[in-house]
Amino acid sequence: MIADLSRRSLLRRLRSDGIVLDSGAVATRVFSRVPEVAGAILSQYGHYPLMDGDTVANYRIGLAPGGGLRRFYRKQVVGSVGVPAPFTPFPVAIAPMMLEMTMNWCVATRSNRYLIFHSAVLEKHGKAVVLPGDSGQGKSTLCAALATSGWRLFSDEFGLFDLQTGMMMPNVRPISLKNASIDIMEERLGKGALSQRLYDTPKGTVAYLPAPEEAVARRMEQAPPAAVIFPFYHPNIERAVRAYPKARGLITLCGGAANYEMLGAAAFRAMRDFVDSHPVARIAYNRLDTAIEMVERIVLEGLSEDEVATADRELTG
Amino acid sequence: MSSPRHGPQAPMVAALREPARMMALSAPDWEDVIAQGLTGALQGVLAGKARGLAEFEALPRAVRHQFEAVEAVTAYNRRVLAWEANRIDLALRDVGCPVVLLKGAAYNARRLPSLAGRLASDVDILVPKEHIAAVEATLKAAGWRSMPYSDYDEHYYREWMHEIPPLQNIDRGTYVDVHHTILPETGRLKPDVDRLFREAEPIEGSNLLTLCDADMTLHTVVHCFQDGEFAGRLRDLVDVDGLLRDFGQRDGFWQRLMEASDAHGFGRPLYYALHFCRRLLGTGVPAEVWAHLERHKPNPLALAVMNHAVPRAVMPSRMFPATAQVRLAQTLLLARSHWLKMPPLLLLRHLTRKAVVRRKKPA
Repeated sequence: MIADLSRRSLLRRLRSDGIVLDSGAVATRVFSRVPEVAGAILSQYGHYPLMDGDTVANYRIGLAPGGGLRRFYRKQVVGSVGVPAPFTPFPVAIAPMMLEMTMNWCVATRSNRYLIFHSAVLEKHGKAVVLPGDSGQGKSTLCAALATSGWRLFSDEFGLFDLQTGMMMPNVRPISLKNASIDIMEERLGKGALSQRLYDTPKGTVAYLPAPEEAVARRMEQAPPAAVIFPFYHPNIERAVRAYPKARGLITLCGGAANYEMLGAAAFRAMRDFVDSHPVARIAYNRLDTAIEMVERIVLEGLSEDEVATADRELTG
Repeated sequence: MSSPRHGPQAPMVAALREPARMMALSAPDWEDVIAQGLTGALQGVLAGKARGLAEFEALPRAVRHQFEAVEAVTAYNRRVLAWEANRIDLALRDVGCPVVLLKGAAYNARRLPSLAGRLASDVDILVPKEHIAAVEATLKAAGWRSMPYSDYDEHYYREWMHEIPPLQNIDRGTYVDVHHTILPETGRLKPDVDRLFREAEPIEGSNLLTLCDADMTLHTVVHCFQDGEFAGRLRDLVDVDGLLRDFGQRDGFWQRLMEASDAHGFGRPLYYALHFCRRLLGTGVPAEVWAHLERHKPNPLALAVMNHAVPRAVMPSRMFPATAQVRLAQTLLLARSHWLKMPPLLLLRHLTRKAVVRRKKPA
């Protein structure tokens, strides 16, 4: 385990050979001489295995101190990925976010052997559920709730569909929770389950839920997709499930896929088959436990005739 | 025991020269090669060579996966390049001048097998100087725009260089570089531009042209040894190597190459390119070509300096860490490239100006 290293020896490694974070689909070698990065790794990735010298990482990333006077005063940290990338320096206090963003950038731009859904993915009963959604609709919160209720976390951000096997591939990383959802999850899981809060980030206040141990241990195990569910948190809707019209679902999924255009015809065919052969649903809820129940039911039993027949209607309580 | 960082036995160079050597690379070497493939834009070429191996499936998983990922990128890049060429062809049809695709877009149009995995971001075209204003105006009317550069940059491009400032397509964000010759006007070498157009060959199913095989090779050669910077530019040598491997199979290619080199006065850069291709990438060059180029051989001191500097400087960054030695070699060669591009006084003026005024970022 990475946490077996002392903070000092971790920092020494980060300066010399780098430290490999193996999240399943990809392994990332991190280099840094910023102590806060070592802290972030210990807190978010401490339970990840310490990879040996025979590991070939997919990516090398660096987290460098900000330049000039910022080396000494109001220190900063900035990610580097070997080629020009759109990172601006962050204050070191939010170094964990820079680490996550830099790793995400690599996945989003370089893991093109997968079709990359913009979605959370989790698995139970050998079936993977894809939860797409723009930020603010509750995707990460529901993902965190599922990941701590018997579902195996694949990713809270990137659904990686392996075009060769037709299965979802885990890329197990901490779940990023923002603003109100931090309190909600802390209430569910107790204090200490989440990382320290990062204030004044570009996404407001952020805290990370480290990936559960089982998800880390089984990070190489793929699972076949079984359903696509668009989650929608709404304070006034207790419980609502409708089918999502398949054509519209297809367009939404394609529009959210980072490399849809790049993969071209192969991506279209994969998405079409995906939407054709699995239930595509929208759910609305105001309690996470209700949402978990609905997800479980849709994945195991599919949608009811009534839910399919009312696909075109608004989601209402 | 760690592997050499540069020269023919560096893992990256050895893998490009003899793909079978990939099978014996250690994990740390592989990571270096993957990182250098990324920073040096050579992952696609490496992937293409790896695919030729019977034991591809025996490569480490991360390596296979990165190669598969880059294959998707290169396939997309080929589509984009072909589409951009198609759009440029359509836009410039009525200008009535020859439009020649250069570099990556040309390799793509000719479907050169050795360069199948090569990525290119911009489309470069060559048009006769007297038509350059019409070409620029026509492209601007058809959806391309000039990027906002300072007056000085504008002046640098138009007066001293061999191209106009890049034009960006408003819808697609892609760039086209419009050239009227293949080397800066201020440089010491003066290519025979008329010959470039005279020998250019049509692309089937389009009004566009590419340079003939010999001129295409020489353009890549001078891009490598006259025009560009050396830092991390192993790819330019790989381009020359790929062209020589593909064109070298054609009847009379080497003869045409020698004639074209004489016509343009490119003997010295060709000598260097062949020298380093052979030295690093094992490119086969017939004896009569060496004999022909004997008189362009640099003096032993110059060659010794280049033999030291080039193999170090061309290595793409492994990202972590860059060594001071390599940076020195790269600085020396950058100075050389400027020296060749501009007369001394003009160079002094340009560097002074650049030191004082940092280029404004496009808004």
